[in-house]
Amino acid sequence: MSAHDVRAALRTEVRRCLDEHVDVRPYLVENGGEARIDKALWGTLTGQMGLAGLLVPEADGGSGAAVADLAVVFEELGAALAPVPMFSTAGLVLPVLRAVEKSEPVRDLLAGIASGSTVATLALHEADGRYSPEATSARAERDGTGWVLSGTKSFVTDAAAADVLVVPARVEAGIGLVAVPAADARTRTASGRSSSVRITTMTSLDLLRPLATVEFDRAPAQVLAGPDVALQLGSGLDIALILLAAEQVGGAQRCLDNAVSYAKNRVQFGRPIGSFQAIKHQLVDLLLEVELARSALTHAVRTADEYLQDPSPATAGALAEGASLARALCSETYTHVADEALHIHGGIGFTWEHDSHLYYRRAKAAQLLFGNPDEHRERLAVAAGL
Amino acid sequence: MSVETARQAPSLEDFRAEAEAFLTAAAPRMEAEHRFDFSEEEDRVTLFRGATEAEAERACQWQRTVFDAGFGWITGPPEYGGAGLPGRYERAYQELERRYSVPSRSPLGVSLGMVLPTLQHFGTETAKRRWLRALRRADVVGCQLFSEPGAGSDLASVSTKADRDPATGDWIVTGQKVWTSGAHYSDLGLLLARTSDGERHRNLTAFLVDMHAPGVEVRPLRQMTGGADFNEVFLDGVRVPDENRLGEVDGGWQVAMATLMYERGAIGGSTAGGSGLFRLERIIAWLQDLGRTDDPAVRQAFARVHIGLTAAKAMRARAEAAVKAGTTPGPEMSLSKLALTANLAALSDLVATALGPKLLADTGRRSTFSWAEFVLGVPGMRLGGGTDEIQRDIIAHRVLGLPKEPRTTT
Repeated sequence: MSAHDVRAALRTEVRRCLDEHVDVRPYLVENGGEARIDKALWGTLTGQMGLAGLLVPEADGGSGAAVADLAVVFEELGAALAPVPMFSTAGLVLPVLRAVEKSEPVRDLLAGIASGSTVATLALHEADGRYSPEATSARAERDGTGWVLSGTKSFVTDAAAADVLVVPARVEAGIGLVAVPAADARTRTASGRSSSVRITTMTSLDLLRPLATVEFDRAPAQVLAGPDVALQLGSGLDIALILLAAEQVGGAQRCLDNAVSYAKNRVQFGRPIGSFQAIKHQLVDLLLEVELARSALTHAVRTADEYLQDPSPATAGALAEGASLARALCSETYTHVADEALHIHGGIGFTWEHDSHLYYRRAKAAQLLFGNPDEHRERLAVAAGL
Repeated sequence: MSVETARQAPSLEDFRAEAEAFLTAAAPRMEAEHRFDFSEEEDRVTLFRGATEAEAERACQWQRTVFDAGFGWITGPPEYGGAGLPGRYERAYQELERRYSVPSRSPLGVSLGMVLPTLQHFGTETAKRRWLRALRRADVVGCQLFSEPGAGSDLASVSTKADRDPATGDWIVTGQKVWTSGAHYSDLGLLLARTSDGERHRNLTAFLVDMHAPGVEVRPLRQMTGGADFNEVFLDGVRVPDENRLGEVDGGWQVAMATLMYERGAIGGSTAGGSGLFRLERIIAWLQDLGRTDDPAVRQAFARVHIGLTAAKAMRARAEAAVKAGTTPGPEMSLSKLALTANLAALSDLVATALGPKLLADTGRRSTFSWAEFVLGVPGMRLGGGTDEIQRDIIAHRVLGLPKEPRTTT
């Protein structure tokens, strides 16, 4: 089978599973409710189908597949709004781990992710919802033979479900990558002082991926990589951006498909509304946007796979350019398509019961987290040499 | 490489070396590809190149030189003067030629991209023998006589009549055509005319018309850019032999649809940066020359152009990969023209943002006011080759499967 056929088969398999099992309604988090994930579905997707381990090298218990394969999975998860922590675990943490030196703790974490036993997330953003190495305030300090982490991260995805929080933090003079087991909410450190990890779910726009604030107070930590991995971390985050873009393409495609199907069936003035040019031209414009976004994604995915095969300043530069390009376009596409698809559904699309708002919320949240389109366009201009 | 030896299919490496040798001898290498000078001789940025006979003549001469060197019809069948090589040889040549400063072939776009493939597919043997090689060598230039004052987007309603002369079997054509690009330097017209009172779509026939025949009159139409690329063509009792008929009598709609498909393919091909206008490194160098790289609005507009071009290029690559893999191409191909007009609009926005008042009046500085012709040309691209609205209808019906509008005409 060609890579093309393998990916088509993977898509079919994932879609079939999600069509059968996804029911988002019980997992909506409203007004400070507790974030929950669909554990049964997570078990199927990871343990049974091994999807979290696609990007984990075979030597570490994964299947050594390409970013192109994982991107297909994220398209489908985005289309279904599946309430599982796949983006946090395999979309955020995994690429970051792939980009840094493979230490023993990194290998352990990779193996845990591949087997499906570990849910992980990346606690990246500062209180203002942004990340940069310079502005990173969390700090890891030596404590006896180990380390402890202190500081606050905000806008963290799937924090409540995570077994491990991976945190870019100051380690000595640089930016390192630190792992904190979330379960040890209150333990004693070697020095005998109390410590904690406190996770507070924020009331969030995206009801299916609520964000959280995580406060670390001398939390026992493990340094995965450091003392200075800011550059590698940046490339890992670029791959994460591309996987998020894949989720956006999948979501946009589903919104479009739903709107096309509605336009064929909804009859007004004695005709399906899809026979009116006002509607059909709108749908064609959305199709064009989705196809271009998908094409930009294909381009970006290639830069990601080239980087992982041969990490160099050149491939890292191409990856940064590809990631920002895809993110800028896929973000605007998803928000626009979700909005117009909702509109084509008419009043029903504005109701709580209809799923349109869930896509609209996801589109908006995905657009603004990890850099908005203006920021990515500026970054693209820099990367292109302007 | 001569046409004769081409049949032994040289290796791609040998072919490249021969092409490189030919190009080096025939044309100057593009000295500064990073600069935004489209031509050393003239300060002009335009989408429409073919307004003057001189431009057409330069294109024809270059095409002849290329043809005589064996690179003028690389994929064409040898029995009609082609070199009979696979498409990758054509792509290899195009890639090499782009590195040289050669005359624009766009005055021959309709002739080579639309008239020629239509003739090749639908023409009689006599017509093919007479014109295929001649068109390809630009000894003969073709134009397209489809649109009429009363038949624009609704092409099927053409009213130019072709009546059969019972004595000779010839066809006598009378009517008026419009928007005919390049008619003023063309020798052969691809005509769509009404040949019966039958049902819509089954009453038209396609012909090749000698543009120098008695009864053909070409009048230039000046477009908003100031140039005159296209024309009105009046046909008054023009005699066309039956051997110039393309396809069946009353089967012209199928011929026209094929021509329009070739047209979309040709237009879509320029989406991804085949045109020199869409080279990012040149745009960057131009913005640097202008000293406009610090303005955040310029940087955003540049990034939008970058994104649009890269995505369109990747979309084209996906379509080609689908064809290669033997699967039916998705919507990528049909969407190419809409992507092109969107990218032209984005580039026009960038140019306006970067130039500001320098786009309004000529300060004498190179590569500034000369963009005005490009900016004025962009609206034409949304109309030509089937309006964007017609493209949307086609995509809505064929790709999305949306129902057609009820017809009010028959």
